[in-house]
Amino acid sequence: MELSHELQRRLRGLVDSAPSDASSVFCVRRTAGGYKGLLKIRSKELRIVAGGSAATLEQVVDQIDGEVAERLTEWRRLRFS
Amino acid sequence: MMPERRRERRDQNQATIPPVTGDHATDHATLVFVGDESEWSAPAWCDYSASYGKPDFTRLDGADLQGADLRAARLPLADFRAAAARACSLAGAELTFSDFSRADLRAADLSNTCLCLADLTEADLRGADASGSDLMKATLRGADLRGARLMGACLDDADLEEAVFDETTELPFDFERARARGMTFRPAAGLRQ
Repeated sequence: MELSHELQRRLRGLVDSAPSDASSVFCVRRTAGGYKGLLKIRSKELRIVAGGSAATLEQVVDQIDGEVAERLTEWRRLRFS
Repeated sequence: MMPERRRERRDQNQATIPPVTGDHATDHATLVFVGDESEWSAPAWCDYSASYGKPDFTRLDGADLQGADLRAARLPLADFRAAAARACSLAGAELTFSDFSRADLRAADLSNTCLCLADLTEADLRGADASGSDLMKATLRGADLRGARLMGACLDDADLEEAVFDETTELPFDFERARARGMTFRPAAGLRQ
């Protein structure tokens, strides 16, 4: 099982917008209905756990993307205030 | 069988992870650190896993960058708050998420830079050249844009509330179309509207 370059680029992009020294791990597994994925980002400043389950990997990444983006927006609001 | 020492370290690390509730709580519990903090362990249930990291961001807050040549620099998330960067050249630089609030960027060359989501609150951009730059979702609240060149710049969803323009500002849009594209602005000084 491999992720497309586009999906890898999106996941890498999420970490790029996280705080400094952030690292992340993304795991995915096949389920009866499609895929279930989990992304964890951690840095000194915050920890984010986001997950999703959908019929396609793209939809799983979409769900995770939305959840992480929301958390990072909140972090940036505090970071730059 | 997991060695005892490793199990202890895993338990210690788990103890520092804040509780997660909801559908992913079970998965979260199986995704734990093993060993030091830079090392990740993927759970047995996954069919695919990948890890990503990013470097530290640069701190240049309050730095004297007057006349500096930073062309094509890659400084995403850099902190330029209140930096003195008059006539500094940042042409072609990657400055996504950078913080230029209250920075002195008079006559700076910001042409063709990526300033997506950058914070330019109250930045002094008088006479700066930001032509061709990507300022999508950038915050330019209270920025002084008199004499600034913004031709060809992308300002979609940018926040220009209280920004100062005048007739010498070269803008890439007409105001009605800009509003329709999500820009918010209320020029503090009079301008063609």
